Amino acid sequence: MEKYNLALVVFTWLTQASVGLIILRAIYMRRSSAGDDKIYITGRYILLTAFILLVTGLLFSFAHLNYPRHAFNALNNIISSWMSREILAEIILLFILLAWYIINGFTIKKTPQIIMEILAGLSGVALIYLMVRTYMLPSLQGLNTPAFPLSFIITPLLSGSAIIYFFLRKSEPELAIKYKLFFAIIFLFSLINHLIFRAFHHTLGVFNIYSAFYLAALIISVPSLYSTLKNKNVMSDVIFLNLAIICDFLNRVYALTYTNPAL
Amino acid sequence: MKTYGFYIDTVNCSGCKTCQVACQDKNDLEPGHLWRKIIDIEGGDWKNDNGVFSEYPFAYHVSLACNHCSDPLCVQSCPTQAMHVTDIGAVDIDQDKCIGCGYCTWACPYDAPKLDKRTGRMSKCDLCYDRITKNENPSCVDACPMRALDFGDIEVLKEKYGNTRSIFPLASPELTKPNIIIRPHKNSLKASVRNASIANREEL
Amino acid sequence: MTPSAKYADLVLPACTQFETWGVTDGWKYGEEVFLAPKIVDPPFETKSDYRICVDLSKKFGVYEQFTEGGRDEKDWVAWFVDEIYRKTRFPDMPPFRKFAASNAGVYTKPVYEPKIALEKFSQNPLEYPLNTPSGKIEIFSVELFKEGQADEIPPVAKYIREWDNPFDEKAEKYPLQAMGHHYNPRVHSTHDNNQWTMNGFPQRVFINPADASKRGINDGDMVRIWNERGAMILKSRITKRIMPGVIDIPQGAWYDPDEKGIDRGGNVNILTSEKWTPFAKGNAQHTIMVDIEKA
Ligand code: SF4
Ligand code: SF4
Repeated sequence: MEKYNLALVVFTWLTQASVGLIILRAIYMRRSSAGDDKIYITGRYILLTAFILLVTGLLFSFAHLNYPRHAFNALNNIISSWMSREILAEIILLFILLAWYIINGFTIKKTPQIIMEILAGLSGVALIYLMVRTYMLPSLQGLNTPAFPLSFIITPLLSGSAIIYFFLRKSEPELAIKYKLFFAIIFLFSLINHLIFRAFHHTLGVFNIYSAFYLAALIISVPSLYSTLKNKNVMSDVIFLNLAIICDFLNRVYALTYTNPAL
Repeated sequence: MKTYGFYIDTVNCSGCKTCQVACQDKNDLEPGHLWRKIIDIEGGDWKNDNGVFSEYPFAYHVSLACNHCSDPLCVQSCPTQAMHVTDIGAVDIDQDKCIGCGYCTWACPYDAPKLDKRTGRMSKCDLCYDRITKNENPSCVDACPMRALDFGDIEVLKEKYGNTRSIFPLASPELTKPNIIIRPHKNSLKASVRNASIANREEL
Repeated sequence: MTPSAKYADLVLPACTQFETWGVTDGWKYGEEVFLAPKIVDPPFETKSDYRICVDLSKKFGVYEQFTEGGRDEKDWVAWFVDEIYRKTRFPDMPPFRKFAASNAGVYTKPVYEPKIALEKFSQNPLEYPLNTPSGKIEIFSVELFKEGQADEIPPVAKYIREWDNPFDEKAEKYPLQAMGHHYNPRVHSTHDNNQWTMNGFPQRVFINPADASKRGINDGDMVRIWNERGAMILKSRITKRIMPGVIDIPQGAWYDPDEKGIDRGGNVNILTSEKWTPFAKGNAQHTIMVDIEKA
């Protein structure tokens, strides 16, 4: 990849956070023991957040075009271009979320909710698959490692569980803890994945900004998890989650910028 | 229809970059905007024998533009269909469609399409369309003082020069079926074993 | 502006080669004559160097002598072709008027039969002696011996240690030998301001990986290069194509000092000695010892 493309990093990251939210929301809707009304309202907020993330992501994808005036042409080559397909899937998901949010405002009946949930979930997963295909080009040796598609699975779960944790922290602490534990596990995966990625790339030294952040997150995770288990609300919570998210984000920056160019 | 291609003689190429500058001159490209570029390869090492150095390094150069592949990944990947195959079999960009996303550059194993910062859209070697339709050679070919480049029907080139389609550090020809014939430098055989690398990345 | 123009008190607008007449031959050994006719008129106030000198000669009152009877550039070229080339090295060359009118540009001396070096001498050295004091090929040159500086002008061909060399005590302070090779994008200093060529071959200091890693220098780092004569800061290129113990700063780059007087242009001359070469009295370009560090 020729240049440092932060816009693209943000785009993939936000989009995946949105997909993660949708999937983890489904679990919340079923596992929460709060009253129906409460669940409905929280669910609606999560949905809105996912929608906003997706729209913001799409806006960032525009920022990466050098000639955005022609942007609509990007759908011209569905037949053979993974990027066209990716953008199509993104737009479809966007409309599904929009429709869902509107339907959600009119009715709280279960069936339409579940249909929309399934639709959104499926197109979300499809979108992530298409994203992986877009970047795993045979000519970009640097991205042809197992670590790269893995990171596209880890990011949705990591950011999704973090956001839901923040939603539930005050209102449903019991469930929030579970999300946090899940988050911690995924964070470990992210760390391992980062190491796998590194194993394929020797351009960076052992210690640098990436490893520094991972180390910091790892250290802070101990008091944070401890206090969570003790049911105390402390600052280390916020710090840990933010640090871990930053780590994952940096991992993406690393993946998309430090890959070997074609030549 | 003829399929055009380039012949690249890495034995005689001196890495002087006349072809690169001739291309920039002909196409009015800004400094650093390279449709044709020269990759310097170096490998081997020095042997220190009790303060006496013996020479083992080697080097050679590969002059590379777009290979106008028969199976162009750039065309396949371009989301807008701006990247297309023209009537003379060249791979070219429709400026009215291009959005400047740069995806073709990632897809191309030869890093051939380049962003034109002036237009915000991609640009690349068009085989000197105006010259070859007048039966002239592309500018780069005629400029080479070592006569290390040739151009023409790929079948004719194949008959004349053999059918080597790749050399370190170029990708496997299976990927895109590039229309280039290469005369491999003798040291390119060593390249894979003797830790060769691209020596002038900053110039590419 | 060129560095020499920056030093000048007065800058006169000289025109280019294409705006005046000129002629040259294939330097010392070539068998060609190249005519460089005037293609366009000099733009604006520019004048050829010769014209500038002619105008000055008028002010000094030596016009007649300087121009040898009012010759202009073209007259001189004609005189040179007709009176010098045709009477010495190129007797078969067409006279100037015909040569210029034919627009051939280049005259190449025809080769009628293959030439063997020292042919007659090798067949009969007594009858056809060489143009040397002894008439022979001289392995020991008496003439050079008479110069009386056998160390620096040896009468037999042999290795002479540079004034600055890696075997001196000084080498402890400045352990690396520096050289300045002729670089692809320039003709000496001409074209240093040509973006196209300089972009293809940027001015870099070439360092062997062994020397670089000892000093913690990575490819592309800015490197300070200095000795007792001067210092410069230049971007590095780590390459195995240069020998360990030697660095290379391509010659001809334009001098560009910063506020501290450290050259940023990569002009190797700031490191070279001002001592003339003993025999030819040329500049001793390759007797430089330096040290480098990450800047
Ligand atoms: S060399 Fe690259 S840009 Fe040219 S046709 Fe092949 S894939 Fe496309
Ligand atoms: S002009 Fe010829 S010799 Fe010089 S770099 Fe190009 S191909 Fe090689």
